[in-house]
Amino acid sequence: MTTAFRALVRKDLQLFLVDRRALLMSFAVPIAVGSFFGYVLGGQGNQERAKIPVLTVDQDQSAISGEIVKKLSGERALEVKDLTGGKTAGAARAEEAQMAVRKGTATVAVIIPPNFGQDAGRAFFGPAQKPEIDILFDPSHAAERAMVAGILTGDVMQAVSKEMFTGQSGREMVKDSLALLERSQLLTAADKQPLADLLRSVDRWNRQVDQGAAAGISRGLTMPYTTREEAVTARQNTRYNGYAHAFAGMVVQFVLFLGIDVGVGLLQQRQRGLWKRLRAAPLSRGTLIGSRALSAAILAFLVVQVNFLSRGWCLACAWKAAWLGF
Amino acid sequence: MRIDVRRWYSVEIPILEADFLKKSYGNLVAVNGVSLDAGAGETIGLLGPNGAGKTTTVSMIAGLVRPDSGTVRIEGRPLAGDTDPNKRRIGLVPQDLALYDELTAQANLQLFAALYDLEGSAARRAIGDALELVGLRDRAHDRVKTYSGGMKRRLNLAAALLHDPQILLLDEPTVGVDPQSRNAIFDNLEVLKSRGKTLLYTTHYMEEAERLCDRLIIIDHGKVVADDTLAGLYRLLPVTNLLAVELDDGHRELRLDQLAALPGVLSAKLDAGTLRVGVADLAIETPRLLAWLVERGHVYRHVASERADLETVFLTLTGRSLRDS
Repeated sequence: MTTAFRALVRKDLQLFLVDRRALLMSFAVPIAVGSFFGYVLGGQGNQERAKIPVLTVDQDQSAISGEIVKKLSGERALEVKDLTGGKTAGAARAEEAQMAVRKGTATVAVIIPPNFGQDAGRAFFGPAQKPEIDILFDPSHAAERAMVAGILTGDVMQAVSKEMFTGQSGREMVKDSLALLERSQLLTAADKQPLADLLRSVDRWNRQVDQGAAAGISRGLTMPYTTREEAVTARQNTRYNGYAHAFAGMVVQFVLFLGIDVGVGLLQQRQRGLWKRLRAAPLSRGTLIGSRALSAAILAFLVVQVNFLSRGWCLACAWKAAWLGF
Repeated sequence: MRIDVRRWYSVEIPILEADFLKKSYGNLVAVNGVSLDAGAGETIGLLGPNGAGKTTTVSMIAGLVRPDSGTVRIEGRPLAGDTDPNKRRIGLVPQDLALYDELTAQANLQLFAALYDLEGSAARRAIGDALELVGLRDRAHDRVKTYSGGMKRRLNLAAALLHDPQILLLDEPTVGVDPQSRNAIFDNLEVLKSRGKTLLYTTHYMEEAERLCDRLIIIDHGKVVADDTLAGLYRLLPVTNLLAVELDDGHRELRLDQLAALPGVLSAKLDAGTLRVGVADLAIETPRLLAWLVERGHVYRHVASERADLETVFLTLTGRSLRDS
């Protein structure tokens, strides 16, 4: 019985080792696929995170729109390319940005229209028409669009408020707004008074800044918080490694494939009459199936070891699991 | 309870016995009460068309399929269960080429020897002998996938001989092989027969059965329809000597009733211009029959004698052709 059992296991291992396709599928393919997905999932964790490719077209060329583009370019999550090429080229640049999104070379394009700064300033203090910023996006990247829209909101608020409170165009806008307020027939005297107080206070603040009294103080609206980011991994003091995740996943997947192959192999043996010949010997079905299960377990163990060792050697990932692979 | 009286009276017990084997798959009755026995050194032919129940019978004898009813005995001991040591007395040559193509012949035979607990020098000796018998010793280390169909058939046979079984079950072992390889397999089987092995040979090729078998069991629709020696089976036929006369157009005037009434003529039949006459003695009746035809103005183009064969026996017993069934 033992002789037969050993011979059956040896036979399965021999058949596996002479089968180039099986070797390729069990060892080379998981390493290749694991390496690819490991790279896609962030590699060894010391690389910069993937950024969203964003195009900007500034058709306004105002201080506010310039500030918005500058702020977007400074965002860590975005890889901004500014296509602005002067006021006259605005429409052509917008089309170029749209084509880039259509081709998939950019995920989002932000197009700031002419007179955006002026219109946004007016809308900031009063009930004027709000200008539109066009956000062109690839519909298969809706999450990225939402991220860019959120970042843009913060940047626009900061840029507009900064310009309104301390910028040159903002000062003129405050004076214009005061004049408009005084002439306005729509507002009652009771409503005009607080607004006029607000605008005069802003005007006074601007003059103090010019005299250096408020130097060093942040100007305009700013985000009232900052963030500290920390990657939390399964083990303490262990840096995230995309290869570790990908290889573990691939190994599990290919061990499952191996299991399927074992089942299919049994069916093929039956189809080819081999099962009949094996069963003609005085052996229990338990011996026949058990030997197949053991050989499959040995092969699965080999797949785990080879994949994890290759990961360790080639990609400098430390072995953190038990030797059995768990 | 069945009492085996042969043991009490020291009657020689057949090495292989199958009693009233029955096997059904759903509504299909594959084997319906097949009984057979074989003595030491005897070669039994199990003859029948495709689907007659030969392979199922062999599978039950080999212990691969559990019969719905009936018993298989090896040297008087019932065969029971997968691990019955009696299975060592049986070598199975399946109809399919049950070999691992990716392995060498040597590796295949090492595995099949190990299934019967043969290893080391005993296994090497058995493998060497089996390869020698089938003439594949010089190809032992080649992968089976490089073998021709005939060589694979011979290796298929060798794999069943490693544990030196007393009974060899051969399930159509020459399917799909060229005449040369078929002859080589026959030579191998004759050697085994001369060594006293009991062979149970299933086939639907009559010439194989006629050449090899001491006794023939004809099986049809899962039942044994005849079990006798070749000579015994021929005795079942009303006519064993036939004279075939190919006639010209004049056969339209032929009076078969007058012909059949002639002394020594057992039967007369006209089929597509060929007259087939069953006669008691060819040497006596042939000139008399030809003279009778000439006297009545019939012209013949060709005359041949035909001997009844197993096909005729099968046709007589079952009413249908062996190959076309």
